[in-house]
Amino acid sequence: MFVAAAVCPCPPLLLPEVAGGAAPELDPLREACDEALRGVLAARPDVVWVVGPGPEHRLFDRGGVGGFQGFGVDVTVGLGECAEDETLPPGLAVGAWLLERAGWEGPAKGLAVPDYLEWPLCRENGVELRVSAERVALLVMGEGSARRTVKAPGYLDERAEPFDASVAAGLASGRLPQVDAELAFELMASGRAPWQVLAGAADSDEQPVASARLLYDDAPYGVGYFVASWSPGV
Amino acid sequence: MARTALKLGPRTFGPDELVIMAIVNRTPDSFFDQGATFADEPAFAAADRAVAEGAAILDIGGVKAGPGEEVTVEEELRRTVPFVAALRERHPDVVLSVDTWRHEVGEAVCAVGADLLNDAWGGVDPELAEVAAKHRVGLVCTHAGGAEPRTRPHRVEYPDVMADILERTVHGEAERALALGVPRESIIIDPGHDFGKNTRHSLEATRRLPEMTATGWPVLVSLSNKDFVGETLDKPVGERLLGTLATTAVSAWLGAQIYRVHQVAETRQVLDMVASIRGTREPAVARRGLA
Repeated sequence: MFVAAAVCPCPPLLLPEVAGGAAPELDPLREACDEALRGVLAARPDVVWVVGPGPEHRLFDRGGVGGFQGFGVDVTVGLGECAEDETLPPGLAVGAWLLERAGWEGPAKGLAVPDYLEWPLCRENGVELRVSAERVALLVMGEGSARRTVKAPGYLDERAEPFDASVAAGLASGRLPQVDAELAFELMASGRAPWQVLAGAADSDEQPVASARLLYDDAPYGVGYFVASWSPGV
Repeated sequence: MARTALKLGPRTFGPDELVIMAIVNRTPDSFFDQGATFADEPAFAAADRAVAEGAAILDIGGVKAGPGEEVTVEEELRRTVPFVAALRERHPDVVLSVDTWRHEVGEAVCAVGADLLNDAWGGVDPELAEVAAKHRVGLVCTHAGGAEPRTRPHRVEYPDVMADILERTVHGEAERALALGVPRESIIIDPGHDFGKNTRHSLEATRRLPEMTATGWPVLVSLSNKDFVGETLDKPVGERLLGTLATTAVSAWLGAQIYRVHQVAETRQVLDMVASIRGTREPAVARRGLA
Protein backbone atom coordinates (compact mmCIF):
# COMPACT_ATOMS: atom_id res chain seq x y z
CA MET A 1 0.00 0.00 0.00
CA PHE A 2 1.24 3.46 -0.92
CA VAL A 3 1.39 5.63 2.20
CA ALA A 4 3.48 8.68 1.25
CA ALA A 5 5.90 10.20 -1.22
CA ALA A 6 8.41 13.00 -1.20
CA VAL A 7 9.48 14.48 -4.52
CA CYS A 8 12.90 16.15 -4.43
CA PRO A 9 15.54 17.30 -6.92
CA CYS A 10 18.97 15.67 -6.88
CA PRO A 11 21.63 18.23 -7.86
CA PRO A 12 25.00 17.43 -6.27
CA LEU A 13 24.88 21.04 -5.03
CA LEU A 14 22.23 19.98 -2.53
CA LEU A 15 25.10 18.71 -0.36
CA PRO A 16 26.71 21.68 1.41
CA GLU A 17 30.07 19.90 1.16
CA VAL A 18 29.78 20.08 -2.63
CA ALA A 19 28.54 23.67 -2.86
CA GLY A 20 31.10 25.13 -0.47
CA GLY A 21 30.45 28.83 0.07
CA ALA A 22 27.47 28.69 -2.32
CA ALA A 23 25.65 26.28 0.01
CA PRO A 24 23.43 28.89 1.72
CA GLU A 25 21.86 29.70 -1.64
CA LEU A 26 20.05 26.35 -1.51
CA ASP A 27 19.03 26.47 2.16
CA PRO A 28 15.36 27.06 1.22
CA LEU A 29 15.47 24.03 -1.08
CA ARG A 30 17.03 21.84 1.65
CA GLU A 31 14.38 22.98 4.10
CA ALA A 32 11.62 22.09 1.64
CA CYS A 33 13.17 18.63 1.12
CA ASP A 34 13.38 18.15 4.89
CA GLU A 35 9.70 19.08 5.18
CA ALA A 36 8.75 16.57 2.48
CA LEU A 37 10.84 13.86 4.17
CA ARG A 38 9.12 14.53 7.48
CA GLY A 39 5.86 13.66 5.69
CA VAL A 40 7.37 10.35 4.56
CA LEU A 41 8.64 9.44 8.02
CA ALA A 42 5.33 10.43 9.66
CA ALA A 43 3.53 7.86 7.48
CA ARG A 44 5.51 5.10 9.27
CA PRO A 45 6.40 3.14 6.15
CA ASP A 46 7.78 -0.40 6.26
CA VAL A 47 10.16 0.52 3.45
CA VAL A 48 11.27 3.67 1.66
CA TRP A 49 12.04 3.29 -2.02
CA VAL A 50 14.38 5.88 -3.42
CA VAL A 51 13.51 6.23 -7.10
CA GLY A 52 15.71 8.35 -9.26
CA PRO A 53 17.32 8.85 -12.63
CA GLY A 54 20.19 6.57 -13.58
CA PRO A 55 22.02 5.49 -16.70
CA GLU A 56 20.50 2.01 -16.58
CA HIS A 57 17.34 0.36 -15.33
CA ARG A 58 18.44 -1.16 -12.05
CA LEU A 59 17.06 -2.37 -8.77
CA PHE A 60 19.02 -1.83 -5.55
CA ASP A 61 17.08 -4.10 -3.23
CA ARG A 62 20.10 -4.48 -0.92
CA GLY A 63 20.66 -0.75 -1.05
CA GLY A 64 24.07 0.40 -2.16
CA VAL A 65 26.86 2.90 -1.73
CA GLY A 66 27.17 6.16 -3.64
CA GLY A 67 29.75 8.87 -3.70
CA PHE A 68 30.51 12.30 -5.01
CA GLN A 69 34.16 11.62 -5.83
CA GLY A 70 33.29 11.84 -9.52
CA PHE A 71 32.40 15.48 -8.93
CA GLY A 72 35.67 16.04 -7.10
CA VAL A 73 34.28 15.84 -3.57
CA ASP A 74 35.19 13.02 -1.23
CA VAL A 75 31.81 12.25 0.34
CA THR A 76 30.30 8.76 0.45
CA VAL A 77 26.74 7.84 1.41
CA GLY A 78 24.99 4.52 1.93
CA LEU A 79 21.45 3.41 1.26
CA GLY A 80 19.60 0.63 3.11
CA GLU A 81 21.81 -2.41 3.63
CA CYS A 82 24.63 -0.51 1.91
CA ALA A 83 25.63 -3.44 -0.33
CA GLU A 84 29.22 -2.56 -1.13
CA ASP A 85 29.15 -4.05 -4.62
CA GLU A 86 26.19 -1.87 -5.61
CA THR A 87 27.17 1.62 -6.74
CA LEU A 88 24.33 4.09 -6.59
CA PRO A 89 24.02 6.61 -9.42
CA PRO A 90 24.36 10.24 -8.23
CA GLY A 91 20.60 10.86 -8.14
CA LEU A 92 20.09 7.99 -5.72
CA ALA A 93 23.15 9.03 -3.74
CA VAL A 94 21.56 12.44 -3.16
CA GLY A 95 18.37 10.62 -2.12
CA ALA A 96 20.34 8.48 0.32
CA TRP A 97 21.90 11.65 1.72
CA LEU A 98 18.45 13.21 2.23
CA LEU A 99 17.12 10.07 3.92
CA GLU A 100 20.07 9.94 6.29
CA ARG A 101 19.67 13.64 7.03
CA ALA A 102 15.99 13.02 7.83
CA GLY A 103 17.01 10.40 10.37
CA TRP A 104 15.42 7.42 8.60
CA GLU A 105 16.87 4.20 9.99
CA GLY A 106 14.39 1.68 8.61
CA PRO A 107 14.61 -0.39 5.44
CA ALA A 108 15.46 1.50 2.26
CA LYS A 109 15.89 0.28 -1.28
CA GLY A 110 16.62 1.94 -4.58
CA LEU A 111 15.36 1.93 -8.13
CA ALA A 112 17.19 3.69 -10.94
CA VAL A 113 15.20 4.47 -14.06
CA PRO A 114 16.86 5.62 -17.28
CA ASP A 115 15.52 8.43 -19.43
CA TYR A 116 14.50 6.02 -22.17
CA LEU A 117 12.17 3.99 -19.95
CA GLU A 118 8.66 4.54 -21.31
CA TRP A 119 5.50 5.35 -19.44
CA PRO A 120 3.91 1.84 -19.40
CA LEU A 121 7.04 0.32 -17.88
CA CYS A 122 7.48 3.19 -15.42
CA ARG A 123 3.88 2.76 -14.32
CA GLU A 124 4.31 -1.00 -14.01
CA ASN A 125 7.43 -0.49 -11.88
CA GLY A 126 5.45 1.85 -9.64
CA VAL A 127 2.70 -0.73 -9.17
CA GLU A 128 5.32 -3.33 -8.20
CA LEU A 129 6.81 -0.98 -5.61
CA ARG A 130 3.38 -0.31 -4.17
CA VAL A 131 2.80 -4.00 -3.42
CA SER A 132 6.35 -4.64 -2.17
CA ALA A 133 5.35 -4.18 1.50
CA GLU A 134 2.41 -3.40 3.72
CA ARG A 135 3.27 0.28 3.96
CA VAL A 136 5.36 1.70 1.14
CA ALA A 137 6.76 5.21 0.82
CA LEU A 138 8.72 6.72 -2.08
CA LEU A 139 11.44 9.33 -2.23
CA VAL A 140 11.31 10.40 -5.86
CA MET A 141 14.38 12.18 -7.19
CA GLY A 142 14.64 14.25 -10.34
CA GLU A 143 14.41 17.72 -11.83
CA GLY A 144 12.46 19.65 -14.35
CA SER A 145 14.12 21.14 -17.38
CA ALA A 146 17.80 22.11 -17.29
CA ARG A 147 17.09 24.59 -20.08
CA ARG A 148 15.14 27.24 -18.25
CA THR A 149 17.46 30.21 -18.91
CA VAL A 150 20.25 31.36 -21.16
CA LYS A 151 22.72 30.59 -18.38
CA ALA A 152 21.18 27.17 -17.64
CA PRO A 153 23.34 24.06 -18.12
CA GLY A 154 21.45 23.28 -21.36
CA TYR A 155 20.96 26.89 -22.52
CA LEU A 156 17.47 28.35 -23.03
CA ASP A 157 14.66 26.36 -24.61
CA GLU A 158 11.41 28.31 -24.78
CA ARG A 159 9.44 25.13 -24.15
CA ALA A 160 11.09 24.58 -20.77
CA GLU A 161 9.04 27.04 -18.76
CA PRO A 162 5.56 25.78 -19.81
CA PHE A 163 6.79 22.19 -19.44
CA ASP A 164 7.95 22.83 -15.88
CA ALA A 165 4.82 24.83 -15.07
CA SER A 166 2.62 21.89 -16.03
CA VAL A 167 4.71 19.52 -13.89
CA ALA A 168 4.53 21.91 -10.93
CA ALA A 169 0.75 22.16 -11.31
CA GLY A 170 0.54 18.37 -11.44
CA LEU A 171 2.67 17.92 -8.33
CA ALA A 172 0.50 20.50 -6.54
CA SER A 173 -2.75 18.81 -7.54
CA GLY A 174 -1.76 15.20 -6.90
CA ARG A 175 -1.99 14.16 -10.52
CA LEU A 176 0.96 14.47 -12.87
CA PRO A 177 0.35 15.58 -16.45
CA GLN A 178 0.92 13.27 -19.40
CA VAL A 179 4.53 14.01 -20.13
CA ASP A 180 6.07 13.27 -23.50
CA ALA A 181 9.29 11.32 -22.92
CA GLU A 182 10.93 12.71 -26.04
CA LEU A 183 10.18 16.31 -25.08
CA ALA A 184 11.39 15.69 -21.52
CA PHE A 185 14.63 14.26 -22.96
CA GLU A 186 15.13 17.29 -25.21
CA LEU A 187 14.48 19.61 -22.29
CA MET A 188 16.93 17.67 -20.07
CA ALA A 189 14.22 17.01 -17.50
CA SER A 190 15.68 14.15 -15.46
CA GLY A 191 12.53 13.72 -13.35
CA ARG A 192 10.23 12.40 -16.05
CA ALA A 193 10.74 8.64 -15.60
CA PRO A 194 10.90 8.76 -11.76
CA TRP A 195 7.71 10.87 -11.65
CA GLN A 196 5.96 8.30 -13.83
CA VAL A 197 7.03 5.54 -11.43
CA LEU A 198 5.45 7.66 -8.68
CA ALA A 199 2.22 7.92 -10.71
CA GLY A 200 2.15 4.12 -10.92
CA ALA A 201 2.84 3.67 -7.22
CA ALA A 202 0.24 6.22 -6.16
CA ASP A 203 -2.19 5.20 -8.89
CA SER A 204 -2.55 8.92 -9.46
CA ASP A 205 -3.27 8.64 -13.17
CA GLU A 206 -6.57 7.03 -12.18
CA GLN A 207 -7.38 9.15 -9.14
CA PRO A 208 -5.41 12.17 -7.85
CA VAL A 209 -3.83 11.60 -4.44
CA ALA A 210 -5.92 13.11 -1.68
CA SER A 211 -3.19 15.24 -0.19
CA ALA A 212 -0.62 16.96 -2.38
CA ARG A 213 1.52 19.92 -1.44
CA LEU A 214 4.04 21.68 -3.66
CA LEU A 215 6.70 22.91 -1.24
CA TYR A 216 9.25 24.39 -3.65
CA ASP A 217 9.16 25.48 -7.27
CA ASP A 218 12.10 27.48 -8.52
CA ALA A 219 15.03 27.35 -10.91
CA PRO A 220 17.87 29.21 -9.17
CA TYR A 221 20.49 27.90 -11.61
CA GLY A 222 18.26 27.49 -14.64
CA VAL A 223 17.25 23.95 -13.68
CA GLY A 224 13.66 23.38 -12.53
CA TYR A 225 13.66 22.17 -8.93
CA PHE A 226 10.42 20.93 -7.38
CA VAL A 227 9.71 19.61 -3.93
CA ALA A 228 6.36 17.99 -3.25
CA SER A 229 4.75 15.92 -0.55
CA TRP A 230 2.08 13.39 -1.45
CA SER A 231 -0.09 11.14 0.67
CA PRO A 232 -3.26 9.21 0.03
CA GLY A 233 -4.91 11.11 2.86
CA VAL A 234 -6.64 9.97 5.99
CA MET B 1 62.74 17.01 9.12
CA ALA B 2 58.98 16.79 8.71
CA ARG B 3 57.12 20.08 8.42
CA THR B 4 55.08 20.91 11.46
CA ALA B 5 52.89 23.75 12.64
CA LEU B 6 54.39 27.24 12.67
CA LYS B 7 53.71 29.11 15.89
CA LEU B 8 54.12 32.85 16.09
CA GLY B 9 52.73 34.82 19.02
CA PRO B 10 48.94 34.50 19.00
CA ARG B 11 48.79 32.38 15.87
CA THR B 12 49.44 28.79 14.83
CA PHE B 13 49.66 28.00 11.11
CA GLY B 14 49.34 24.50 9.66
CA PRO B 15 52.07 23.35 7.24
CA ASP B 16 49.74 23.90 4.26
CA GLU B 17 48.62 27.36 5.29
CA LEU B 18 50.01 30.16 3.11
CA VAL B 19 50.66 33.22 5.22
CA ILE B 20 50.93 36.89 4.32
CA MET B 21 53.30 39.22 6.14
CA ALA B 22 52.39 42.80 5.26
CA ILE B 23 55.10 45.44 5.14
CA VAL B 24 54.46 48.58 7.18
CA ASN B 25 57.47 50.86 6.97
CA ARG B 26 58.05 53.58 9.51
CA THR B 27 60.63 55.14 7.24
CA PRO B 28 60.63 58.33 5.19
CA ASP B 29 62.56 56.79 2.33
CA SER B 30 61.80 53.10 1.62
CA PHE B 31 61.95 52.24 -2.06
CA PHE B 32 58.36 51.25 -2.70
CA ASP B 33 56.21 53.42 -0.46
CA GLN B 34 58.53 56.44 -0.32
CA GLY B 35 57.52 57.36 3.22
CA ALA B 36 53.78 56.89 2.82
CA THR B 37 53.47 55.35 6.29
CA PHE B 38 56.15 57.37 8.10
CA ALA B 39 53.50 59.31 10.01
CA ASP B 40 51.30 57.62 12.62
CA GLU B 41 47.88 58.00 11.07
CA PRO B 42 48.62 56.55 7.63
CA ALA B 43 50.68 53.79 9.30
CA PHE B 44 47.75 52.68 11.45
CA ALA B 45 45.46 52.90 8.42
CA ALA B 46 47.86 50.76 6.37
CA ALA B 47 48.09 48.18 9.16
CA ASP B 48 44.31 48.01 9.53
CA ARG B 49 43.85 47.64 5.82
CA ALA B 50 46.48 44.90 5.52
CA VAL B 51 44.79 42.91 8.28
CA ALA B 52 41.37 43.38 6.68
CA GLU B 53 42.76 42.16 3.36
CA GLY B 54 44.18 38.97 4.82
CA ALA B 55 47.59 39.61 6.36
CA ALA B 56 48.30 37.48 9.43
CA ILE B 57 51.64 39.15 10.17
CA LEU B 58 52.58 42.84 10.17
CA ASP B 59 56.27 43.52 9.60
CA ILE B 60 57.34 46.88 10.97
CA GLY B 61 60.51 48.41 9.63
CA GLY B 62 62.29 51.47 10.94
CA VAL B 63 65.25 51.54 8.59
CA LYS B 64 65.28 51.56 4.82
CA ALA B 65 67.04 48.46 3.46
CA GLY B 66 69.09 50.32 0.88
CA PRO B 67 71.84 52.84 1.58
CA GLY B 68 70.76 56.29 2.72
CA GLU B 69 70.70 58.67 5.63
CA GLU B 70 72.00 57.08 8.81
CA VAL B 71 69.39 55.86 11.26
CA THR B 72 70.76 55.60 14.80
CA VAL B 73 69.57 53.00 17.30
CA GLU B 74 67.75 55.79 19.13
CA GLU B 75 65.96 56.89 15.99
CA GLU B 76 65.04 53.31 15.03
CA LEU B 77 63.63 52.81 18.54
CA ARG B 78 61.64 56.01 18.28
CA ARG B 79 60.15 54.92 14.95
CA THR B 80 59.23 51.37 15.94
CA VAL B 81 58.64 50.86 19.67
CA PRO B 82 55.58 53.09 20.27
CA PHE B 83 54.04 51.86 17.03
CA VAL B 84 54.47 48.19 17.96
CA ALA B 85 53.02 48.88 21.40
CA ALA B 86 49.99 50.58 19.88
CA LEU B 87 49.51 47.82 17.29
CA ARG B 88 49.63 45.22 20.06
CA GLU B 89 46.56 46.88 21.59
CA ARG B 90 44.86 47.40 18.26
CA HIS B 91 45.41 43.93 16.76
CA PRO B 92 45.79 41.35 19.53
CA ASP B 93 45.30 38.41 17.12
CA VAL B 94 47.84 39.54 14.54
CA VAL B 95 51.49 38.48 14.61
CA LEU B 96 53.74 41.51 15.05
CA SER B 97 57.13 41.30 13.41
CA VAL B 98 59.90 43.86 13.43
CA ASP B 99 62.43 44.10 10.64
CA THR B 100 65.72 44.91 12.34
CA TRP B 101 69.26 43.66 12.62
CA ARG B 102 69.95 45.38 15.96
CA HIS B 103 69.57 43.54 19.26
CA GLU B 104 68.80 46.78 21.11
CA VAL B 105 65.76 47.29 18.90
CA GLY B 106 64.80 43.61 19.21
CA GLU B 107 64.91 43.84 22.99
CA ALA B 108 62.75 46.97 23.10
CA VAL B 109 60.07 45.76 20.68
CA CYS B 110 59.80 42.35 22.39
CA ALA B 111 59.22 44.19 25.66
CA VAL B 112 56.14 45.84 24.14
CA GLY B 113 54.69 42.75 22.50
CA ALA B 114 56.50 41.86 19.24
CA ASP B 115 56.19 38.16 18.30
CA LEU B 116 58.81 37.83 15.60
CA LEU B 117 62.19 39.37 14.78
CA ASN B 118 62.85 39.61 11.07
CA ASP B 119 66.62 39.54 10.87
CA ALA B 120 66.77 40.50 7.22
CA TRP B 121 70.54 41.09 7.18
CA GLY B 122 71.42 37.53 8.07
CA GLY B 123 72.68 37.62 11.61
CA VAL B 124 75.17 40.47 11.50
CA ASP B 125 74.34 41.16 15.15
CA PRO B 126 74.66 37.76 16.86
CA GLU B 127 72.92 39.08 19.96
CA LEU B 128 69.62 39.43 18.08
CA ALA B 129 69.03 35.66 18.18
CA GLU B 130 69.79 35.72 21.90
CA VAL B 131 67.07 38.33 22.36
CA ALA B 132 64.62 36.12 20.44
CA ALA B 133 65.54 33.18 22.68
CA LYS B 134 65.22 35.23 25.84
CA HIS B 135 61.73 36.45 24.91
CA ARG B 136 60.71 33.10 23.31
CA VAL B 137 59.71 34.91 20.10
CA GLY B 138 60.21 33.84 16.48
CA LEU B 139 63.22 34.60 14.31
CA VAL B 140 63.56 34.92 10.54
CA CYS B 141 66.99 33.65 9.47
CA THR B 142 67.78 35.37 6.21
CA HIS B 143 70.52 34.82 3.68
CA ALA B 144 72.28 38.04 2.81
CA GLY B 145 75.54 36.44 1.72
CA GLY B 146 77.44 38.04 4.56
CA ALA B 147 76.65 41.53 3.32
CA GLU B 148 76.81 44.46 5.71
CA PRO B 149 73.43 46.06 6.48
CA ARG B 150 72.23 48.65 4.01
CA THR B 151 74.72 47.79 1.34
CA ARG B 152 74.09 46.86 -2.28
CA PRO B 153 75.66 43.77 -3.82
CA HIS B 154 78.71 44.57 -5.88
CA ARG B 155 80.12 41.82 -8.07
CA VAL B 156 79.01 39.17 -5.59
CA GLU B 157 79.85 35.63 -6.69
CA TYR B 158 78.74 32.25 -5.42
CA PRO B 159 80.03 28.91 -6.66
CA ASP B 160 76.54 27.64 -5.78
CA VAL B 161 74.09 30.19 -4.48
CA MET B 162 71.63 27.68 -2.97
CA ALA B 163 74.42 25.84 -1.22
CA ASP B 164 75.45 29.14 0.39
CA ILE B 165 71.85 29.93 1.34
CA LEU B 166 71.42 26.55 3.00
CA GLU B 167 74.80 26.77 4.72
CA ARG B 168 74.17 30.20 6.23
CA THR B 169 70.44 30.09 6.99
CA VAL B 170 69.93 26.48 8.00
CA HIS B 171 73.26 25.25 9.26
CA GLY B 172 74.25 28.69 10.46
CA GLU B 173 71.50 30.89 11.80
CA ALA B 174 68.55 28.50 12.26
CA GLU B 175 70.49 25.82 14.10
CA ARG B 176 72.30 28.40 16.19
CA ALA B 177 68.96 30.01 17.09
CA LEU B 178 67.56 26.63 18.09
CA ALA B 179 70.61 25.92 20.24
CA LEU B 180 70.21 29.33 21.91
CA GLY B 181 66.62 28.49 22.84
CA VAL B 182 64.49 30.10 20.15
CA PRO B 183 61.38 27.86 19.89
CA ARG B 184 61.79 25.36 17.04
CA GLU B 185 58.25 26.01 15.79
CA SER B 186 58.99 29.74 15.49
CA ILE B 187 62.17 29.68 13.39
CA ILE B 188 61.82 30.64 9.72
CA ILE B 189 64.33 30.67 6.89
CA ASP B 190 64.43 33.20 4.03
CA PRO B 191 66.63 33.03 0.90
CA GLY B 192 66.88 36.82 0.94
CA HIS B 193 66.02 37.78 -2.62
CA ASP B 194 68.19 40.71 -3.80
CA PHE B 195 70.14 40.72 -0.51
CA GLY B 196 73.76 40.09 -1.45
CA LYS B 197 72.52 38.77 -4.78
CA ASN B 198 72.25 39.79 -8.38
CA THR B 199 69.09 39.10 -10.36
CA ARG B 200 70.23 35.71 -11.62
CA HIS B 201 71.07 34.65 -8.06
CA SER B 202 67.55 35.56 -6.93
CA LEU B 203 65.99 33.74 -9.88
CA GLU B 204 68.01 30.64 -9.13
CA ALA B 205 67.10 30.85 -5.45
CA THR B 206 63.45 30.90 -6.49
CA ARG B 207 63.88 28.00 -8.88
CA ARG B 208 65.61 25.94 -6.18
CA LEU B 209 63.20 26.71 -3.32
CA PRO B 210 62.39 22.99 -2.93
CA GLU B 211 65.91 22.53 -1.54
CA MET B 212 64.99 24.94 1.24
CA THR B 213 61.55 23.49 1.93
CA ALA B 214 63.08 20.00 2.05
CA THR B 215 64.92 21.04 5.22
CA GLY B 216 61.56 21.22 7.01
CA TRP B 217 62.02 24.80 8.22
CA PRO B 218 59.19 27.09 7.10
CA VAL B 219 60.34 29.29 4.23
CA LEU B 220 59.60 32.99 3.97
CA VAL B 221 60.06 34.80 0.67
CA SER B 222 60.32 38.54 0.34
CA LEU B 223 59.78 39.22 -3.35
CA SER B 224 57.62 42.25 -3.38
CA ASN B 225 58.46 44.70 -6.16
CA LYS B 226 62.16 43.95 -5.80
CA ASP B 227 64.92 44.70 -8.29
CA PHE B 228 65.24 41.10 -9.48
CA VAL B 229 61.62 41.35 -10.66
CA GLY B 230 62.28 44.76 -12.15
CA GLU B 231 65.39 43.62 -14.00
CA THR B 232 63.84 40.39 -15.18
CA LEU B 233 61.02 42.31 -16.86
CA ASP B 234 62.83 45.64 -17.26
CA LYS B 235 60.14 47.45 -15.30
CA PRO B 236 60.41 50.38 -12.86
CA VAL B 237 59.28 50.04 -9.24
CA GLY B 238 55.68 51.03 -9.93
CA GLU B 239 55.20 48.32 -12.58
CA ARG B 240 56.37 45.20 -10.80
CA LEU B 241 53.11 43.84 -9.38
CA LEU B 242 52.50 41.27 -12.12
CA GLY B 243 56.07 40.00 -11.94
CA THR B 244 55.83 39.87 -8.16
CA LEU B 245 52.59 37.89 -8.30
CA ALA B 246 53.95 35.45 -10.89
CA THR B 247 56.95 34.83 -8.63
CA THR B 248 54.57 34.46 -5.68
CA ALA B 249 52.56 31.80 -7.48
CA VAL B 250 55.64 29.80 -8.44
CA SER B 251 57.11 30.11 -4.93
CA ALA B 252 53.85 28.92 -3.40
CA TRP B 253 53.80 25.96 -5.76
CA LEU B 254 57.38 25.16 -4.75
CA GLY B 255 56.51 25.20 -1.06
CA ALA B 256 57.30 28.63 0.39
CA GLN B 257 54.87 29.39 3.21
CA ILE B 258 55.19 33.06 4.19
CA TYR B 259 55.05 36.04 1.81
CA ARG B 260 56.35 39.45 2.81
CA VAL B 261 54.42 41.86 0.61
CA HIS B 262 53.30 45.38 -0.11
CA GLN B 263 50.03 44.42 -1.90
CA VAL B 264 48.05 42.15 0.39
CA ALA B 265 44.73 41.75 -1.43
CA GLU B 266 46.37 40.78 -4.72
CA THR B 267 48.72 38.36 -2.99
CA ARG B 268 45.84 36.77 -1.09
CA GLN B 269 44.07 35.96 -4.37
CA VAL B 270 47.18 34.41 -5.87
CA LEU B 271 47.90 32.31 -2.78
CA ASP B 272 44.28 31.16 -2.54
CA MET B 273 44.36 30.15 -6.18
CA VAL B 274 47.58 28.18 -5.77
CA ALA B 275 46.31 26.51 -2.59
CA SER B 276 43.17 25.39 -4.39
CA ILE B 277 45.19 24.02 -7.31
CA ARG B 278 47.39 22.15 -4.82
CA GLY B 279 44.23 20.80 -3.21
CA THR B 280 44.81 22.28 0.24
CA ARG B 281 42.00 24.84 -0.04
CA GLU B 282 38.42 24.31 -1.18
CA PRO B 283 36.99 26.63 -3.84
CA ALA B 284 35.10 29.51 -2.18
CA VAL B 285 31.93 28.50 -4.00
CA ALA B 286 31.10 25.66 -6.40
CA ARG B 287 28.08 25.81 -8.69
CA ARG B 288 29.44 25.11 -12.14
CA GLY B 289 28.27 21.78 -13.52
CA LEU B 290 26.63 20.82 -10.24
CA ALA B 291 23.13 22.28 -10.61
